[in-house]
Amino acid sequence: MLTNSIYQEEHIPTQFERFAKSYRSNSLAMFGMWCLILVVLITLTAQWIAPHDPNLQTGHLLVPPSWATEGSIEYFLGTDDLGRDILSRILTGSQYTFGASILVTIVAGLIGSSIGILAGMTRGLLSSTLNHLLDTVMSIPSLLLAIIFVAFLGFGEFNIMLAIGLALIPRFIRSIYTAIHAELEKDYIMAARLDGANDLYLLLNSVFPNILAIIAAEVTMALTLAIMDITALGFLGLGAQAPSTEWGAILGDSVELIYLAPWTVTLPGLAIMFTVIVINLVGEGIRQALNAGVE
Amino acid sequence: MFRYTIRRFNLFAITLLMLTFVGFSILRLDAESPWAHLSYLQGWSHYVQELWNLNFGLNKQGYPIIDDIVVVFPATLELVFISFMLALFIGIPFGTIAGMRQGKMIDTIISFISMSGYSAPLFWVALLLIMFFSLDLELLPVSGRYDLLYEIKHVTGFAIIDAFLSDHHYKAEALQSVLEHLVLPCLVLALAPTTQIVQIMRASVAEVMTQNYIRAARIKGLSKREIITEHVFRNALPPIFPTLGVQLSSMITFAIITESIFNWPGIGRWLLNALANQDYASIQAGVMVVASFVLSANILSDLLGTLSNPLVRKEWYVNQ
Repeated sequence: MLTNSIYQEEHIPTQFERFAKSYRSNSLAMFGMWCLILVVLITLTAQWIAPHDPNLQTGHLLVPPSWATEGSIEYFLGTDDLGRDILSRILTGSQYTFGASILVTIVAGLIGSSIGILAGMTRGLLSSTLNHLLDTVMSIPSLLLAIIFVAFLGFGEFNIMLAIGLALIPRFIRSIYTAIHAELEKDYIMAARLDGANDLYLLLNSVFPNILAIIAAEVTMALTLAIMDITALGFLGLGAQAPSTEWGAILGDSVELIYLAPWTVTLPGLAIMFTVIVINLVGEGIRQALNAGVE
Repeated sequence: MFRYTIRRFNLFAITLLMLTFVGFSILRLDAESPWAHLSYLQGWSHYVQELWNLNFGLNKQGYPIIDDIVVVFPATLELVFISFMLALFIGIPFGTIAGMRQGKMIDTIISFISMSGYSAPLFWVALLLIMFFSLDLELLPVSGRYDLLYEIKHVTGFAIIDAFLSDHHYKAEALQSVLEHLVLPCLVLALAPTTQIVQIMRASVAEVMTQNYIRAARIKGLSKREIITEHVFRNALPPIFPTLGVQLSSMITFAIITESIFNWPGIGRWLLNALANQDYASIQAGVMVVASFVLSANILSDLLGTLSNPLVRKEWYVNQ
């Protein structure tokens, strides 16, 4: 950078500034971030920006999207077999799909990280047992866990969210635990310890900044899995039930229309795919930017 | 290796035992079943004995559940096995190419395709494929395992083998029908593991490529093919074995979805039906069978990974 200053550097960029600079230089990640902000805004304001009531049966059945010749601007993405506006349904559905998966990820992340940190900072019998046990628990398919939960608690999106959260927790524990353990073996931690740092200080100031990239990757992964599982279970009819506008449930509702009205199937699917790709772009961008100084 | 194996089997046994508690609790959900009236521990020990004899109980219609499982479980296994092979055969070469040429054009393309394949919801991809290949082009069948015109006797439960073993005059046609019905479900089911294997393989190969022995091999003047087959594969493959077992467990999730879309008469669809009918004995049996299958696959892949990778093996004993 060109400046008039003859001194080398007046201001040493903080870790966050370096991160932000590196992130901004990655155009794909920036594109992902703007899209993600859009999705978050839609999720927060869905009730107010939806043009129609998502469950109102307008009487205009199976209107194609507006770009088709028979389409109308009134129903921008067309209507389904009950005459409900698809755009409104997809907009409000973001809360049940995207919002719900964020909730699940945050809760599972908090619980999993705290257990992972506790196990990672200690060593011995507890952590080695934990390590092997988690490997096995992680191998139970998430859908099977969801089926068990449905058997006990009945159908419904909340029960499904519990099951998905429970499937995500071991992943968090495992990765945080491994990351902390690997980090604790390094020499700079020993140096800090010799300086008299206690465990809490070590964790917050030495270990934590260095495992941020792993946490970012894990959160991205968990969010993706949560969206996939919530929509899949909605599609199978185990999660969100029929009139719900959860994206998977919309898809499951309109499977029989696939030949007659393909847009009722393709559009909700595109919404899911768009959200997941955007999350992955941002996650990958964050990971790269965090690693920029290291790699 | 012996102590490691013993440890793993211990873990397997403990987890299975924990699972039996889940299975038994599901069984007790049905208030009318005799299990609900026994005291918990006594009932549980009785239940484990019955499981040991492969007696899963009777379903709601009063037939032994084991007869159902023998029919539906091989159907799922067939689907999963073929898709897994497909995923390996596509994933390993492409992952290797991407890893060898990290940061280059072809790596970006492969990575991007694998990310979009991973991001697309499976059931949606399945519906799009049905829409295109079955409804528009009318090339492939929409659902089922084979045309009901053909009568394929149940021998092994694997439709391909059964069709091959049948001695009707329409054997070739039946086999063709079975294969046609396999194409779409297998493609759909293979999608997610393929993208995963590409990513794992890419990371593993990229890691190996930075090692000094690869540079030494280059300096020695080995051809690219020799470097790949003798140095890269030999070092990049063993670390991915344990992760394959984890892949298998997520494949079971996907298999349940695929079966429900393609009406594939496998254990996933059967389990979903049992759930809709609140047939708790069947749910219990399905959960136990699928979970023990996944667990054993996991332990096996772990053992195989350790067996083929001396580095991990030595490290484990050093840490003891």
